[in-house]
Amino acid sequence: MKTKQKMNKMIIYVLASIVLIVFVGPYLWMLATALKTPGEVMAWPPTILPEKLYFENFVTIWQNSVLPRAFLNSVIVALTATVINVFFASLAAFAFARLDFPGKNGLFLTVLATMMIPSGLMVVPLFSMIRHMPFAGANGWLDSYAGLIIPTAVTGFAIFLLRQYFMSIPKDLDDQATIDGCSRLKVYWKIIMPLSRPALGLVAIFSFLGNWNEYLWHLTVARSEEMYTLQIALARFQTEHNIEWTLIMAGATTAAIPMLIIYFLLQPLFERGLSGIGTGMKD
Amino acid sequence: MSKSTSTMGHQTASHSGKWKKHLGAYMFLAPALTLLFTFSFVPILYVIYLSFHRFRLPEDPVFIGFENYIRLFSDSVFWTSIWNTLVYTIGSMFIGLFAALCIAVLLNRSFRGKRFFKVFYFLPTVTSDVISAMIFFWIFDHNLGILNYLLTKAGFSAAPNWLLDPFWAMMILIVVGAWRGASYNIPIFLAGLGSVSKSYYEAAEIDGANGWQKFWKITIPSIMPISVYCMVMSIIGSFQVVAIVDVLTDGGPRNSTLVALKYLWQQSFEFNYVGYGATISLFIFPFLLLLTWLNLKLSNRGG
Repeated sequence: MKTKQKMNKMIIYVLASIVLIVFVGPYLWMLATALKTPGEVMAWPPTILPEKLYFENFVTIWQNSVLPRAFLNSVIVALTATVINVFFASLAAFAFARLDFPGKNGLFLTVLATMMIPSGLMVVPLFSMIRHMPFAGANGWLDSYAGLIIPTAVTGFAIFLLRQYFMSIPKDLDDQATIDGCSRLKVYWKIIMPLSRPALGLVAIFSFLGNWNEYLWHLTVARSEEMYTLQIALARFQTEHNIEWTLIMAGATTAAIPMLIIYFLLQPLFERGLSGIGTGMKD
Repeated sequence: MSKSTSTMGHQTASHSGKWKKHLGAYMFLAPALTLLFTFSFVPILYVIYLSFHRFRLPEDPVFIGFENYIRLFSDSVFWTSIWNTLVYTIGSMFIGLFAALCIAVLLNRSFRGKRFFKVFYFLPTVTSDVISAMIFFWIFDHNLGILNYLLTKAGFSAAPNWLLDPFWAMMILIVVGAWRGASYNIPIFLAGLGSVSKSYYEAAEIDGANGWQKFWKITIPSIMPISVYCMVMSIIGSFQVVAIVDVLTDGGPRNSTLVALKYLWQQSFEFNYVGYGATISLFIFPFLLLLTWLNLKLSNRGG
C-alpha cells in the first residue's frame, strides 16, 4: 500500500514535469537563443545552453530603428486604455449597481450584447469609421494614438465584472453615507472604489494584457512605422531578419518581459481572477 | 398632470428632483456607454452598408447592389479560407481542450508544489500570439530548429520541411493554437472540477465504484456545462485567428493556411477591396453570433 502510494506520487510528478516542459520549455529556448552569439546559434548539433552569456543581441535590439519606439507606443497605448477602461467602466458599473433610472435593464442588456460581437470581424467597418473622426487630420484617427486606443478601450466585460462586484458590497455602507449627506459621486469615490480594489485590479490587468498583446486592430490602424505597437513591429522584424535567430529571440524576450513581470508580481490577483472567471461566468 | 391643484406644486418639485436624479445617473453612464456603444453598434450598421458598395480608397463608396455577394459565392479562395479556418478551429479546439482537461484532472489532486506548476502552466496565456508564434517558428526551423535535431537524435532521418509543406504547416498552426488554448483553459476546467460536490464521490465509493467509473459517471457529466462553454469560446476565438498565421506561414504554402480573417484583411487592406472585406465580415458574423447565443442558452439551462 505504502509503495503504491509512492508510485502514484511519482507518476504525478513525472506527468506534471512533462507538462511543465511543454509550456515553459519554449520560453527557456527563446531565452537561451537570445543569449547566444550569432555564430553559436548556427552550430550543428545545437548547444542547449549558451557557451557564455552574450548580451549584445539586446543592445542591437535597442539600437533598432523601430522596436524601441514600438515598445514605447505599446506602453502608452496599454496604459491609457487601461486607465480609461477602469475609470469609465467603474462609473457605469456604479450606476448599474446602485442607482435607479429609466431604461436600466435595457441598457445593461445592451452592454452584455456588446460582449457577443466578434471583434475581429469589425476591423473593416471600424477602420472606415475612424477615417472620418472629427477634430483630426484628413485621415481621421488612422495612424494615431486615438485610433489605437479609443475604439477598443472600454469593454462590456469590465462593466459587467465591476457591476457584479459592486453589488456584493453591503448597501448599508453607502446608505449611511447618503444619510450623512454624501453625494453619489462621493459614495462612488470614497466608499465603493476603495472597497473594490481586487476587482479593479483584475479589470486593469486584463485590460493591459489585452491591449499589450493586441495584434489585428493595431495592424489596421498603424500605417507608419512610428505608430507600430510592439506586436506589429515584432512580426515585421521577424520577416526582415529572416534567419538572425539570436536577434529575433532577443526581440521576443524583450516584448515578453513586461507582461511576465506583471504576471509574477500580481500572482494572487491573477489566481483569484481566473478561478472567478471560470465559475462566475455562469451566474 | 396631477388631479388636485393643492398638491400640484409639490408634485412638480419632486418630479424635477427625480429628473435631476436620473440625469445624474445618466452622467455616470455617459462616458463608458458612449464609447462602448459607438464603437460596437455603429460598425455593425456600417458593415452592412459597406457590403453593398464598391469601396476602393481613396475613392468614396459606390453602391453596387449584390455584386460583392455574387463575388463571394464564386470566390473559391474565400471558400478555401473558410475550410482552412474550420480545420484549424476544430483541430486546435479538440486537442487544446482535451489537454486542458487532462492537466486540470492532474492538478485537481493534492501534491506538494502544485501551485508552482499551476503558475507556470499559464505562461503562454500572458504572452502574445506573436511571441508564441515566433518561438515555434524557430523551434520548427528546417535547418537549425531544435525539433529536427531531436528527431534525428531519435532516429528519424528525413524530417519534413515543416512550414513549407501544406499539411504540416496546418498541423503546426493547430499545435500552436492548441498549446495556447490548453494553457488558457486549465484554470477554467480546474474551477469546474473543484465545484463538483465531494458527496457524489463518497456515495459512489460506498457503491464500490472505481476511479475510472467515478471519472466517467460523475466528473464528466458534472463539468459538461463548463466544457460546452469552453468549446464555444474556443471556436469563436479560433475562428478569428490571424496573428500566429501571419508569423508562421503568412497563409502559405499555396493558401493552405490562409484563414478567413487573414483573407478578409488581405482583400480589404492589401488589395484595397474594402467593400468586399465588409461582405466577408458580414457573412461570417451570424455564425459566430449564433454560437454565442447558443452558449448563453445552454449555460442558462445548466446554471
